[in-house]
Amino acid sequence: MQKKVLTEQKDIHGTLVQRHGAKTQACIDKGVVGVMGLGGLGSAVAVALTRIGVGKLLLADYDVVELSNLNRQYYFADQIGLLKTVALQETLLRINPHAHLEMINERLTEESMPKLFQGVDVLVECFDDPVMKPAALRVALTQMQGVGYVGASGMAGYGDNGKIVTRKLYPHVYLAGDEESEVGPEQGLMAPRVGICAHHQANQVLRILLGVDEE
Amino acid sequence: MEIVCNGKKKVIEPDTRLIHFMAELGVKPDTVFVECNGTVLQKEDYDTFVIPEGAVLELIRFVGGG
Repeated sequence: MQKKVLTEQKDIHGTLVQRHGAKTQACIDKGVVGVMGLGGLGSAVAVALTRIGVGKLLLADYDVVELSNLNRQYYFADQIGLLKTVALQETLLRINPHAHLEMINERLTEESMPKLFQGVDVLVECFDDPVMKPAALRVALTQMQGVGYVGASGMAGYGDNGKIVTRKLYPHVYLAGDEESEVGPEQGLMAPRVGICAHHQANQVLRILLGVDEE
Repeated sequence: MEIVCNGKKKVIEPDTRLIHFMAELGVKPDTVFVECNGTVLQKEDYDTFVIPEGAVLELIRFVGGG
C-alpha cells in the first residue's frame, strides 16, 4: 500500500526558516533563478536550489532522458524517454510539491535567452556544448547587464577535487570548474566530479541571492 | 608590438587579426570568449578584428561537458 503524506506549504517553509534562519530564507524566497541545460550540472543545480526553497526556477532543456545520462544526471531508470523538463519537474515536486517551477522545453539560442530569462536574479549556464558556453556568457554580459551569472567549464573525469574552483570574471559573474578537463573518448563525465562542479554553481547562486558573493 | 593576453605580455605582428592570433594559440574560435580593452567581442567579429597595439585581451577557452 502506498502511503501518501501531503506536506503543506507552511510546514515546508517553516522548516526551511528553522534550518536556514529567517533572514537568509527571506532572501532565498525572493530569488528567481534560470538554469540553462538540465544535464549533469543543471539537474543537480535544480535539485539543490529546490531543496533550499528558491522562490522561482526557470528550467530549460530540449532533450529526453537516456540510459547514458544515468551515470551522472538526476534522473531515474523509469524516466528514460521522458523529456528532461517533464522528468525533472516530477522529481522536484517530490522534494517540494509547492515549488514554483517554470519548465522551458526548447533549444536555447543567443536570441531567445534574454527574452526567456528576463527578470531572473541569477542565470546558471549548464550547457554541455563548448560553443554555447561562451555564447551564453556574451549574452549575459551584453544583453542582460546586471544579472548574476554562474557558468561552468571543465569537470570531466576524476581529477583532483580541489582543481574545481569558482572564479570571478566580473562583478556577480562567475565560472566554476577546472577550465581544462574536457569530455572525450578517454575522459567521460562522471557523477562525482560533475556533482562537485554543480554544487559549486549552486552555492555561488545562493551567495549571489544572499548578496554575499562580493565579500 | 606588445599586447597583454590573460595578464601576460606577448609580442605579436602589427595588424594581427584576432582569428589568426587564436589559431596560433591553437584554440577553436567558437569555444572562446574574448574581451579586448574592457569590451566583449562578438563571435561574428573575430574574423575581422585587428588587435590594437597595447591591447589588454582576456580570453576564456571553454571545454565541453555539463
